[in-house]
Amino acid sequence: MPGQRIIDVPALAAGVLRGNTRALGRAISLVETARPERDELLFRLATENRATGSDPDLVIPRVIGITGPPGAGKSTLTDGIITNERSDGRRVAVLAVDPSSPFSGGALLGDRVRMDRHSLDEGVFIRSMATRGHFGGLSAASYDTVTVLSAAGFETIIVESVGVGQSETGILSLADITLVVLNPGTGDDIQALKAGVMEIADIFVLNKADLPGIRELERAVRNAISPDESGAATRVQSALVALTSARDGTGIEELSAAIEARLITLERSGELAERRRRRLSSAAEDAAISIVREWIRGRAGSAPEMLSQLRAQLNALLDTKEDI
Amino acid sequence: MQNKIRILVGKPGLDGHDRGAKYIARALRDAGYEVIYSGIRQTPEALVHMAIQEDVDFLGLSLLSGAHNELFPRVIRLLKEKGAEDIIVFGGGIIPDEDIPGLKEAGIRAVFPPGTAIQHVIDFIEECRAKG
Repeated sequence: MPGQRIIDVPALAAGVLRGNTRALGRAISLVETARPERDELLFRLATENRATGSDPDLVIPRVIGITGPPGAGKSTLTDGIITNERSDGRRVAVLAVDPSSPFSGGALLGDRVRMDRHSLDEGVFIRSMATRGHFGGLSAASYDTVTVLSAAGFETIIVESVGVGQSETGILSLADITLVVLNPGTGDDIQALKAGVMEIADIFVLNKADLPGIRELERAVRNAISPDESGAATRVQSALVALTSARDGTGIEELSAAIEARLITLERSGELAERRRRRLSSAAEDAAISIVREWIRGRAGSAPEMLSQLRAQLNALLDTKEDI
Repeated sequence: MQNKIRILVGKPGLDGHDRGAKYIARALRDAGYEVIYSGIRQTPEALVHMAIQEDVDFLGLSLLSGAHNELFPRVIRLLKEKGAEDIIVFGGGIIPDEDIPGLKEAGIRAVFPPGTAIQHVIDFIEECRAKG
């Protein structure tokens, strides 16, 4: 049972660094809790990873974020991207986030059903996670989970957000590259011009491209991302557009090529390094917010205790991740 | 932060009848647990792989095809091989009474036949949690 388990953190960290599946599963459960061993684990993963591998060998994974409304096809697209990443020889981890119930606190995590042809591939690790009251489309433990998966040496990490509406842009601060999945028939060109989710895409994936309305959707999206008269290109104005029909695999290869192209552009411009730096500060901010929130809800003891926990947390983050 | 109980509801074997599995999954969600649903037609190997990746506390197997005497013990065996025998396995579906003692002997901790009240399943989970 969780909570009663005695955790041997050094052994757990060693297991994660070896890529042991059992250890990975347990480590992710641990980073979802507020147990003190959590910080110890994250610290060990960062320091031991650095100590054992010389820098050129250190794998920096590509973190691909996928977001979009419920039912847009995020999990099915993830399945297709896994296949392509595997055929390129990369080990792939998936973090699939679904909402927790605001009433019972329970959750039904069903994303991996769409990915089950990979369920016996040792080079694929899929983990479902509930938001547990966290806003923004991800869970509070998403950042730390990516840290754990990186330490285990996965070359590609796909993070699938919950089905989002217009303003859940949490994926932005976690991913190297963000895919926003849209479907035909879900709104006019005004929707495509709104702020929020529509601004965070590196690639717009127009999925279910076999359905009527795909031309209108494509026109609306291309219109929304065309540069204005000043010629200044914002993030969204350099976004790519990919048409897919994830159910039968149409366009998935082209999508993977677009991901590749976009990553190269981001790396050359220095934007990729900048995003990875921002990921760190988001992680610190998130850790702080979750500690304070727990304290406000009266679960975490006195104010001095809360502050010392906060300090320990931020120390661990800043110590462990400064090199990312 | 509370430690959440995580449960994989798995459908081993070839039958595609998953109303029962989905009903249980939803009821356990409403009881406050985090439930992962495997989808239909899974092999015991795939279910064990999922259970370990998801680090679940419980694995509930739903089967209506009659292959439970073969597939349930196989799941237990594979969990042991992977060092994951602490995951508590329970079963449900069309399982004749006379098969239940054999399944329990094989390591299935509880069997819930058709007509089981959901509270009964929740009580089982909570008893296991209390025992640690």
